Amino acid sequence: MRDRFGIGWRPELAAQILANSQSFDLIEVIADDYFERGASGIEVLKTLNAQIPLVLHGVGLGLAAIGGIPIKKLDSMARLVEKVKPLYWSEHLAMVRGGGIEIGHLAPQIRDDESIEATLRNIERCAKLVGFAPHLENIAALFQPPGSTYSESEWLSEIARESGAPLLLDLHNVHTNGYNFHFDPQHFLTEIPLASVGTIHISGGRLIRANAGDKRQRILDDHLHPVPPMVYQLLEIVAANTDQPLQIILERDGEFPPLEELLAELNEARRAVARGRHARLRSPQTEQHTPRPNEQTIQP
Amino acid sequence: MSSVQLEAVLARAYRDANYRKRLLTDPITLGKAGGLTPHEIASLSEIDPISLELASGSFCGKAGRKRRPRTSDFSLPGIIRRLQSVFRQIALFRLFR
Repeated sequence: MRDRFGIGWRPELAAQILANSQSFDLIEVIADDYFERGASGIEVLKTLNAQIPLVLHGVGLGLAAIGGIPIKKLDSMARLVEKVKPLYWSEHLAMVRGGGIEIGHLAPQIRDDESIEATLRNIERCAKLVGFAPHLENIAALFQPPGSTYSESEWLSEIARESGAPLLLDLHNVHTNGYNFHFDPQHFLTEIPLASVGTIHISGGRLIRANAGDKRQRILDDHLHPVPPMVYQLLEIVAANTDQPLQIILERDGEFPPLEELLAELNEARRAVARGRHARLRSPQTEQHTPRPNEQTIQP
Repeated sequence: MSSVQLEAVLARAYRDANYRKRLLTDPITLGKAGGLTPHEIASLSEIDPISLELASGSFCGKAGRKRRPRTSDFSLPGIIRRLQSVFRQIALFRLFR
């Protein structure tokens, strides 16, 4: 098995991805887009899967929901996985609804014992219905959920260890949360079970302020900008400290540049992984590898 | 500490600007109305108002960005548009197959 590099499937990029299919080892499709498309949507995904190996990425289950996950959505995911037969599927460790209100995106869950237990129940339910557990993705946040008794790394590690499910480690989310909540993203990687990482997301965001007078900047993980140097550094560290093959997926959700630019970002990711793997071969496995601090400036 | 009730209060705070404003100024009254425990109500005071405001704006702006807009247009032009989209995708696949 080898490391694989791919991109998020977006309608705006479809023609270019297909025309350059040899450049991608896999593609990641947003599963929720196909829940209500019927047989024609399934056929599209099957045809796509026959050309480039495909993984399904969920955005609407909210695996960390204390109130449970909606059975209808989970059933839709199970049917899609059964019919399309992706390499694997993934979902977010997030809250996406509460009290019957759809938040519309991914919100951070309160990190405590109850949310860990609820998340583990949700993952078990997913595994039972879909046939296997999803890869679990960490999310980016702009504010800390109230009442949390675990740090993000502790919460994530506990869920990964107890569930046994693979992690989908979004490195831009690690970078974003490190910047927004003042922790070192490289240190974060030493606190989580990297051996559980199966997939990695890379993407870019931008710095924002609440208003003109606000002195504090935060990173918004908008997936509209190039991957910053810090994310490649984090990728190198993960590659240098893991033995298992990784799936690395570039996410871009808008303001699409020419595909050449996205391919260049994927090539940069390939180089970062190669550097990490090379360091892994040369260094004792117990020693944590960190890249040279050549790009320590914070960029979103 | 965390509960279905606290989850509901936070979800409403993300989506409802008026509720969010009232929650930040009077967490006790709204927390009690939302069925929160005294401990949960106390935790609401930890929320950084600017960060919550930014997060809520971001959530509103990013809502569904990853997801393609779901159509519920069952008019004849709407159905034709959807069929055209399906045919275009199939044609695209055949072109590159």
